Amino acid sequence: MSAGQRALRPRFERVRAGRSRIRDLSEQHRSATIFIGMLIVTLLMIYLPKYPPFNGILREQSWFDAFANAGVYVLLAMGLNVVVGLAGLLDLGYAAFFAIGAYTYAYSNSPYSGLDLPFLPMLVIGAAVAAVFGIALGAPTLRLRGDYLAIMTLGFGEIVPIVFLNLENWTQGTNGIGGIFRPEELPGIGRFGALTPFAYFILMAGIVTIAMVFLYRLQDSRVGRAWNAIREDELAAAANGINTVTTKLLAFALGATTAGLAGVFSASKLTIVSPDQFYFTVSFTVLAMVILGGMGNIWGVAAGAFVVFMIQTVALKQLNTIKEGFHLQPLDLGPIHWDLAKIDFTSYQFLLYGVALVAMMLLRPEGLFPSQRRRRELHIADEMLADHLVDEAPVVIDEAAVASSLGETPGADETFDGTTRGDEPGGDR
Amino acid sequence: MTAIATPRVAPNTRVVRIIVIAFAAVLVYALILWRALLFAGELTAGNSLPGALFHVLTRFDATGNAFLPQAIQQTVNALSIGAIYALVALGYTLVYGIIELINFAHGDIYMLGAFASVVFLGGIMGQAAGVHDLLPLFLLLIGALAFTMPIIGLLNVGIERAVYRPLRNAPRLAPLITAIGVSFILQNVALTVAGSGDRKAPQIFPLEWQIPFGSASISVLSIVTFIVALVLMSTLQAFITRSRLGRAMRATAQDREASSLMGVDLNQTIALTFLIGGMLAGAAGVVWGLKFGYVKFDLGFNAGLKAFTAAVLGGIGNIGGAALGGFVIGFIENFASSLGFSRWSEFLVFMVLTFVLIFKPTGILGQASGDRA
Amino acid sequence: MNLRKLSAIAGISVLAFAACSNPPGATTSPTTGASSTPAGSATGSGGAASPGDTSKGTVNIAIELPLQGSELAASQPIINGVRLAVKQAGGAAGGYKIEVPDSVVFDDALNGAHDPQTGANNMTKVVGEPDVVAVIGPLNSSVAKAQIPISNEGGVLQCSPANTNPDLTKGAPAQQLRTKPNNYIRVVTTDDVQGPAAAQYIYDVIGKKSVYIIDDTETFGKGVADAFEAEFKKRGGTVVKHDAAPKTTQDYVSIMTAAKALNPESIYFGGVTATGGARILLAAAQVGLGDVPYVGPDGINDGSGETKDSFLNLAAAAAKNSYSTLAGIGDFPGRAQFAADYKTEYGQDPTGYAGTGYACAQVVLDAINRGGATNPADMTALREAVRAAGTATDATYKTIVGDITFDENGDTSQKIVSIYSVDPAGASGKGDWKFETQVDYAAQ
Repeated sequence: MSAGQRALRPRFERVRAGRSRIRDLSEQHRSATIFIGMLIVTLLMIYLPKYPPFNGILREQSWFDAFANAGVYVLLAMGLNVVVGLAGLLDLGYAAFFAIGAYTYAYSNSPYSGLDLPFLPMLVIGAAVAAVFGIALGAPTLRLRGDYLAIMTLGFGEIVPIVFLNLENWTQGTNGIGGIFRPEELPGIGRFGALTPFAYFILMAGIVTIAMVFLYRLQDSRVGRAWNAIREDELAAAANGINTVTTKLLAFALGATTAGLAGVFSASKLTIVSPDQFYFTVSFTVLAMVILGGMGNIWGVAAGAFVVFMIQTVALKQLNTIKEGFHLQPLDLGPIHWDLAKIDFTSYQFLLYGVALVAMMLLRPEGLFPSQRRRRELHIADEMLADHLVDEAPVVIDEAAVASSLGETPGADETFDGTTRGDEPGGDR
Repeated sequence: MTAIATPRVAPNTRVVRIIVIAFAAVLVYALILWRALLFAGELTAGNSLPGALFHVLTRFDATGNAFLPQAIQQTVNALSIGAIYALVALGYTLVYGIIELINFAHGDIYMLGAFASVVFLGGIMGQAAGVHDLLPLFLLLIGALAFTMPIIGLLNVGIERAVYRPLRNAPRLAPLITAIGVSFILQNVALTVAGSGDRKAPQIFPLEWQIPFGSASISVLSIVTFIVALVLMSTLQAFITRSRLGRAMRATAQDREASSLMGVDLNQTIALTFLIGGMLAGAAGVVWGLKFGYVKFDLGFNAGLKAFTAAVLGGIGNIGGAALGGFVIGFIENFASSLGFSRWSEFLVFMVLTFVLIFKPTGILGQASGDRA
Repeated sequence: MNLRKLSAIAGISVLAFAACSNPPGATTSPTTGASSTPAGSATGSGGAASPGDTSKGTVNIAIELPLQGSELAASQPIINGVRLAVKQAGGAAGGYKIEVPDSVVFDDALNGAHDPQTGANNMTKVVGEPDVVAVIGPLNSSVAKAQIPISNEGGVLQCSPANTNPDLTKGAPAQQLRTKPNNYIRVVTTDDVQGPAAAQYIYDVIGKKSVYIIDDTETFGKGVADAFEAEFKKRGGTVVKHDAAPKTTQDYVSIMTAAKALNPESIYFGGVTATGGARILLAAAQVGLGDVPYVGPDGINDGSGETKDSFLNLAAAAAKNSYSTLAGIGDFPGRAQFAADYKTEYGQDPTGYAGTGYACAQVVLDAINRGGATNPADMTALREAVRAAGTATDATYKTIVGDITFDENGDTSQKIVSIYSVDPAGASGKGDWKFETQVDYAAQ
């Protein structure tokens, strides 16, 4: 790092040093960090709703219900993050695996099938079934380029609900499978009930924690590095000996596993599965959460998914309530008559997602909570430009010191190889 | 470009390919009529396929109707719906050819075209029902097209300028995701403004204008939609092959840097591509409104996917391919519905997409492009 | 920096919520004055406690219906009917002040059509609302399937003015939905009556002996189409084909072309306008089947040609030969008075299920009366008392549609189906439904 550059960015350096210390610490004890972090967050989520202003917005049980539902999307976002963020495969049909997990649980635990299997093993089985389908649906896409991959996964994402819809003899078609049995009671925490979602909330917190630990370990492992390599340059990765086939399939499988987990949980909570819960809007919502949260950053997408879901379920409804307080009059602009009082913010949900997605892609593609690596990747062009701008400032080279270290004495017109140290692309790291 | 001899697709290979496809199509037709044969009970041991076909064409079913009229009516219907898909598929293929972006929002552009035509015919012109006089009908049709096509074309250009151009050099994921975002924005704008139910589209073509044909009746509307699409497609073909701007588009699609070195204005060419794509989608929207009598905010999404499948099927980047693909998809969907599998039509279309992408990603008429990694 | 951003966002959100928080629901302190004026001509609102007595506090009746798209055209009359009934009862029952504020009117539509999951979420909220004593709704049987387990567990009386699927109350599927004693009642009859009524009308009255059936694959549409088919065949008619096309279908012309080749004398559609009722008719007209009678269930009876998104509005002139059934009484003694009152209050004629919505509200108010008479100590006890009163099989309810009792499943004793035809001159030339006749199946 040259003196000039250090002189120009002192504050950033000190902050960076502090941040990197925290980061190092958390990276060394990653699982512990996750446990502690999730514990703190869970405790916050348990106790905050008891106090104003939260207890004025929703009742306590409704908060737990919302948290449990948010957890489903957190799981989905973390899973899609593996496929899109880590491995760089744009999967637009993610809801298909969600559906498979949900229907698997429905088949094993409903009056329709007559079975009633214990819940925790079903979590594992549902995830495994989804993983199998992840491999099956990912296999044909291996040779495809990014955009074709996207369209094909979109196709699969559409096909799976259609199949569930049309095979009426096996799935009861559009009516879905209802009356699904809830999980058995958690000792010490309570029953899983429609009106007592606290047990669901605790269960979901546990699942998210375990999933996070697992995914972080994966990210730091050989597989995770292979994913990074494939995402950045597949040809180079293959040339370096990475088996792109198994790596990609593993990405699909793991993404599907997480979605399967979420599906089993969601089926056991809603007690009804029907094909219209799994259309493209779900895939799109999860994709929006991943993009907003920060592709590639596991806790980033989790936080992003949670925030977006809370906005969707709580804030938009609150906006409606506030709007009612204003008693708006209809707006009359010539031929346009707009009844402002009838605006329903909850119906703007997908419009907001679309705008957010476009805005993010244009302004901040690395998301709200980006991982450093992705930010560098997406802004490498900007960084190179910035570094060149920096280099126009005068840089002092101590030629005498350099010459003495090399045992030479440069002439007045000689330079070494025409470059100065500041010319290294990418600056310091 | 390297000096390796790139295999030219010789004309006779082309002809052979077309013959093979035509034969396959006739075979499929025969199979479909075979099903009719089964119903007709003509499948006895002695009947050969041509003989059975002959029987079917003249055969009467239980209600005393010959199958040929129904087959013709279905064919006309398939042609008209295929025409709509072809028009939309052309937009996809043009844009993909030039900037290698799957414009997810294209289907919703087409939906907006349908809405625009409803605004024109219903709102501005105040039409509600069929118009029975030829001259006003013709004028209204031309008027709807003249109103919708420029507006939607310019909208498309505007979207490109605002959203896709800044991302032209970004990693490939970015414009794709942005396109999805734009698609949802367009859908939800339509949803907010027009509501979520079906909106009535004035069917200025009187539905009673049918050409009776045995037991079937062919609606003049279907014929007109096909003709409109055909006219537009031939105009496009002429423009692309003969005009200077069209040549610029083809050059840019082939090699962006080289064509800009040759003096082609990249931004202008891309804008022109989006303009043309948007105009075609707008025309398709007008045709939809006339044919089906309703518009809805989400009609673009599914139709867009099918049209994209059509473009891929025909060979992405290839104009004739997009048209061909559109008609093929139209036929597949139509016959699936008529055989009672209408619930599976989307499934079938995606299966087609899957097979094409796995086994022949360049499509029917496409040529091998460079990398596929 | 990331932690800081996170806490900043959290802080801003907290502040935003603090600024915006509004306690949900109505207050429980008794209000003085300013209640709605009791109407002079209240038709059939029976009550035990002295009307106007609001000493015990305020309770709410929740409404749960799809409020988007074409289903709004069917739901809005129900909401109007309920509010009219509450108003004409003086806004009080059983010693409580009854209110139906906007905060307890829930929308179960997602992206323009009813959505069972949204309905289930709403029902969870309804059960959790402290002041809600009963709920009226939903419109769609598929949503009811998701909701009944929740309202049943919560012990809240649920009265539907429009669900017609038999599986909600009869047989094993219905038992699977209930873990506690029944809480669900409906004032309309079921599809195993509505479908056959249409079959009988087509075969006997219109005189068509062959029919082409197409349904929308949903709970309601398929159920009523299957019931129709069974009855039509039983009478000796021919079903040339029974097709199914989900609501996502865009091109019905190819299906109808195939149907045309089979030459049906009539067409029966099982479903609602939102799932394709009008689109199918338009496609039929396009292929040359525009003149055959087109018959559908109550799903297409959702308003006149002037009502936005209704069947008649979308089908326009093609609907000239259409019929529909309503799973409820069409011509009841108080109908003219009800229509007059409704028009005075809302400026429009009552359509579709406005009458049954009114009837549901009357039942609920009567149940509150009877339940309130037992002087329950708190809300939970009141809910249970109302539920028990509402589902009691020995109680007779005097409602606008007649005197009805509920059986042990929650089905009404009144099994009347009314038939409507299209009057092209109605609603200033745009077309409106005209009452033709009604059939009482209770007697059969």
